[in-house]
Amino acid sequence: MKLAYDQSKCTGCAVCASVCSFRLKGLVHPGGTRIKFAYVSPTDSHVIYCRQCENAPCALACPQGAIQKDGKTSAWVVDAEKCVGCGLCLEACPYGAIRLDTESGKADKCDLCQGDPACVKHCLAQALTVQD
Amino acid sequence: MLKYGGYCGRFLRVDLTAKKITTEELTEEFVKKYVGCNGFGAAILYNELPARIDPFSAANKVVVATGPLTGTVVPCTPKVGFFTKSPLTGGFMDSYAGGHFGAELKFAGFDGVIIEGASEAPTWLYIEDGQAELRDASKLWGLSVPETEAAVRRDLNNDAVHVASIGPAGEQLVRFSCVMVDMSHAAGRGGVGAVLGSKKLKAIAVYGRKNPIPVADPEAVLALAEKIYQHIQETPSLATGMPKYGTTGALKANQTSGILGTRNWQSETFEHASSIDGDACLRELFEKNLACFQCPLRCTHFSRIKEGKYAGTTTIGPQYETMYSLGSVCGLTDIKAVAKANEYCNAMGLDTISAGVTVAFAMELYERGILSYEELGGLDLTFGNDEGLLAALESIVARRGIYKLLGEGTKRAAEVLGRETYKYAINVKGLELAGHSVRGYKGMSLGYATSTRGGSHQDMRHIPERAGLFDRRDPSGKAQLNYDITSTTTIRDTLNYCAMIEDVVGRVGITEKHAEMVNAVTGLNLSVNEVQQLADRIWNLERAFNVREGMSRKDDVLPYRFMHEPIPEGPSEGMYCPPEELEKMKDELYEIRGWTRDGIPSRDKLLELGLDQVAEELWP
Repeated sequence: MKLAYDQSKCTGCAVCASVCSFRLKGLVHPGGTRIKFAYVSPTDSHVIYCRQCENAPCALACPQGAIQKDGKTSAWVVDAEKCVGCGLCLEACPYGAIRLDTESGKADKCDLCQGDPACVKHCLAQALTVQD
Repeated sequence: MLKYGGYCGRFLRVDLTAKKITTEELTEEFVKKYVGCNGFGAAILYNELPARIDPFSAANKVVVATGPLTGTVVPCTPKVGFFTKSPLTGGFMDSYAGGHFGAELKFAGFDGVIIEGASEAPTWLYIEDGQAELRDASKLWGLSVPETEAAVRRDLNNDAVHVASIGPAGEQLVRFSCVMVDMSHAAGRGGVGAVLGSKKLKAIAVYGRKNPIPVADPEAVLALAEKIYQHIQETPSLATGMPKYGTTGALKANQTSGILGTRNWQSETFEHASSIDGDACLRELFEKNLACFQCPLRCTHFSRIKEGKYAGTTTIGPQYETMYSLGSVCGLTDIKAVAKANEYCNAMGLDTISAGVTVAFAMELYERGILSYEELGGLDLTFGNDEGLLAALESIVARRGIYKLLGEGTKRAAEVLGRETYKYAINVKGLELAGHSVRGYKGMSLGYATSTRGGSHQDMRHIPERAGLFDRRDPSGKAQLNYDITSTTTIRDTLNYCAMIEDVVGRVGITEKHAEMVNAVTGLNLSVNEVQQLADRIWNLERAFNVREGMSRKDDVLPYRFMHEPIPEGPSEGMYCPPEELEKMKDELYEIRGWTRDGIPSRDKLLELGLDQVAEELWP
């Protein structure tokens, strides 16, 4: 599975990013989310999100083999044990969808909430959906 | 470091005279006593403003404040409050806007901003992650709201900033100028924009990425958020009504009950309602849903006028209040013209409610022959003439001829014009009335008359009466209803959730749900009784502010029309609020509130609420 985003339905509420950061750390933090909200103007907003690419450039770029495909969700998941925080995955991602966690220094990315993405669940406008 | 959740723990203080910016820590005592937005604003203004100052003098202040819910995961909590001594009413004014500004201010590390003094040259304030600076606004002065936002974004080279700004109306001290947040969300009422104009503060821009907002009990907050989501999804009016119509559905509802302000409230049924209602918006205007920060309701709409003489105009909205004020109350029969006027007011920074009601006042004076075509500068202000309305709005902003006086609001205009024009001035305490009938709801009669702000629909709410939960035709019990509802709206504005989700925690009376909400986020552990006390403390403080300005029972009055002219036709025909009925309801309310017969909070009540300093001042 992977996320799908229809910008024409996006209302610019940023709920996706808020619930993402809240799920991670128990607080809302626009600087600490896996799905990022990009406000362009009052009538135009976007989200920056992981496409769970077929041949994921992030995984290919990782010298530690720390980004592995989850068998159940087919999401690319960071193994924090293996990650050394080199940041090569960030540079490799064409969508800007990976971050380095400010506290751990490790790479961090969307894991589709283990199959039940909070951002999709809370996007009542259905701009974000799950695609098989 | 404050031990409670939901706060940054700091306010910015910006002295525009000295060009000095300082940071102040919120004390535990202050937070416990006032909790948030409305409470903070009331406390700071009461404590820091001397009595009887000119609202346009450097002595006045503008407090910008958020609540503990702002910037949390709790849905529908985008609001930011602006507080000042109103140039329109001369009393306490609080006005709230949605958008992203409030949350962004907290992500930048501040619960609020106190703006004081006055700058000689135009200036704007930039706040980013714990830092703030004043910048030169000489090139921004004179620009419309969208132009100002664009210039600020360009200057910062950052599209993601959120901006609160004033337009030319605020610069020109039109007394009903608003502050526009993210271009389309107005802190509309009472002239906060004009006060910023008098201080030469054109805009405030915020950007925050480094200050996440901790909450006291993340699990309880998440559970609360999920409960609100569930409520929304199970409530058709929220789940499907809001995205489809936003607030515009109210026009048809009010028309159906015969309580839609029409042609300066000469009537309350509008024969052209169907051409300016929510369905007309769907047909003619709405293109896309928009939403405030953290709001799944998406009640806002991006509109484009597709055909006719205003083709090509885009605007965000209109919302119900504007469809009333720039629509039915001015007799307009084309929703596209309403949208055009909405776009103009938003760009200039005019409160659409006061602006429309003021033009409607002039329209009635014109039709009655009290103001001539010449006196009106050669404008045909016949009800329904959209071009006349637009030209009048433009003349108000330009402060041209008689429109300079109209830009002072209907109360001042009627005083200067004389000729019994007060009979047609639709305001309470100087604030023009919102689009919910005084005559058609007994609760609203009392609510408008006694609201601290004046003619606002956000203290007393009409919805429980419109829904039939209380008999809108019967004055008995309305004092208690007023007390119960204004208590919840005060808490709403203090925690800062949107009026659209009032139902989730309840509109009538403080309950366990309000306490749960505040406690999950803050950890203040307030009991239901303490939340009630908080509401009482804030409301009494606002009232005391007005008392200190010389207001009392005599100012708790309604526009002449609503006390003397019954609704002439339609489903609510015959309803009005004669003075003796109003006075009786006031007696009952004052007693419930612990006020004297003159409407002054008693010494005992103030002491009971911990407002000792106020008690000393009002009862020396």
